[in-house]
Amino acid sequence: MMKIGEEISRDLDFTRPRVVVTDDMVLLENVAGIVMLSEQAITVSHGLKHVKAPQKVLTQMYTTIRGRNLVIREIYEGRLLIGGTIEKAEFLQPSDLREN
Amino acid sequence: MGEPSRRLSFYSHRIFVKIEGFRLDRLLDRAMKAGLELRSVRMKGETELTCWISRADLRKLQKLGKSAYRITVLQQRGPVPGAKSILARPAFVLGVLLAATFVVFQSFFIRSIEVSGYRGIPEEALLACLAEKGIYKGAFRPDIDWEGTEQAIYDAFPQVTWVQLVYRGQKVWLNLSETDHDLYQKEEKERTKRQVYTNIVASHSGYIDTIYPYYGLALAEPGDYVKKGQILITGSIPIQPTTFDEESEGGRIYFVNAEGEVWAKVPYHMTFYQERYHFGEKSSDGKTVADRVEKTEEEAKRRAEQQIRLWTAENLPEKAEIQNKSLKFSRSGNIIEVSVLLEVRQEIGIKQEAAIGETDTDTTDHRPDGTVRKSGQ
Repeated sequence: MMKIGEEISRDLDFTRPRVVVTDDMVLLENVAGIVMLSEQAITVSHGLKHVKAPQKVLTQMYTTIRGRNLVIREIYEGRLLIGGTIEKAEFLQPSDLREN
Repeated sequence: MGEPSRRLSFYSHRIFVKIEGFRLDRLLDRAMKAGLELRSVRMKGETELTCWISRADLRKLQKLGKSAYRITVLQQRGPVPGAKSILARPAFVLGVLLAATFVVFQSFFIRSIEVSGYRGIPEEALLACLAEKGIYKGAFRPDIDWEGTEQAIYDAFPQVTWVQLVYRGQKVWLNLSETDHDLYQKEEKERTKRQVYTNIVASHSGYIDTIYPYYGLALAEPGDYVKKGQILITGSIPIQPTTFDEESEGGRIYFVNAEGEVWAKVPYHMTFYQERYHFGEKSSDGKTVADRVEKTEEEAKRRAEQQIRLWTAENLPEKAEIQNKSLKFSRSGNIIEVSVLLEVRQEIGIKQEAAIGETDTDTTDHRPDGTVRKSGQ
């Protein structure tokens, strides 16, 4: 159970990726930019973020939505509403991207 | 929050475009960072996508794309394109305008008139008055002088106290209120006509046996001798005030239609005549015994009884009852004279109308024996 202070701080953290997923829709918030676009995958960046482990470094955060017949229903003010058949949501950092 | 005019909505001018070029994600990235609103972004391969965008944002997108991307307008929607598409069909526009004009124009004509609130005035007279002032089915409403029509109704029908002439759409309502001028006169006449009361008077002279006043005031008592036409039960009842008010001294008179039963013993004197002799008396063998034989007293009495029965059947009422009977025979010449005295118990009360205007004489003409005589009787 998350403490209320922690919950508020997460709500106000606009660099942290926030994703709402249903079976046919994904709402991505705090989107800083669109990195990659296709009918099978949409990758967005959420800007720079301090990561503590194993040492505190400034790194880029990414989110990838995978599926079929993906359509961006709306792009507006840092939010993406994605429709289609949703299969996977991935949170990535540059090291993960290199591994892939 | 963006400017409301730039938001895509049903009412905004929105454009469906096709964008072609390499690295379309970079263009979308720049569009998002520039705050452009895109909808239904659908990838059509590596180098092509389609999306909806507002007209204002399309110009910005074209600037962002520069010459690296080709943006083609496929479809436009919104009020302005819709109006343009409608105006591109002049026959359709003309038909719509004609239909609208017809609907509006025909609403200027009166279709029905409803009149309410009248009582004595015939509806036809009111409609005729309206027609004279130009209010009839099919009349052109803007030409109507509403106030003048109301005034005309006031002038034509003096008994009208209030008039409301209103319309809604094609219907006209005439609401009015009238005094009971004619009705009042009729009612007054009827009321005046009804201002009579009835007394029970004696149809025969006699001695009162029983008197039952159902309505009214009895003016006779059992044992009283009353004459024909005398009031037995009066419908004029004086009411004595129960308060000591000097001004109302003498009281008031309450009028009713008197009803009741009055039974009296009425004496009847009459005389019957019969022949004194039987003529041509014969014996049992058919031979004449004597030319004439005088009637015996029994025979005369039987004949008198027969005559009384005949008289009773013709002259006495159905419920009359003969209580005493006295016969007196006197013989003179060839005639037997029978003097009859009957004491008949019968109802003698009959109704007689009296006008209220004559009540003063009626109520003040008290006789010493307690009865009241109506003037002129």
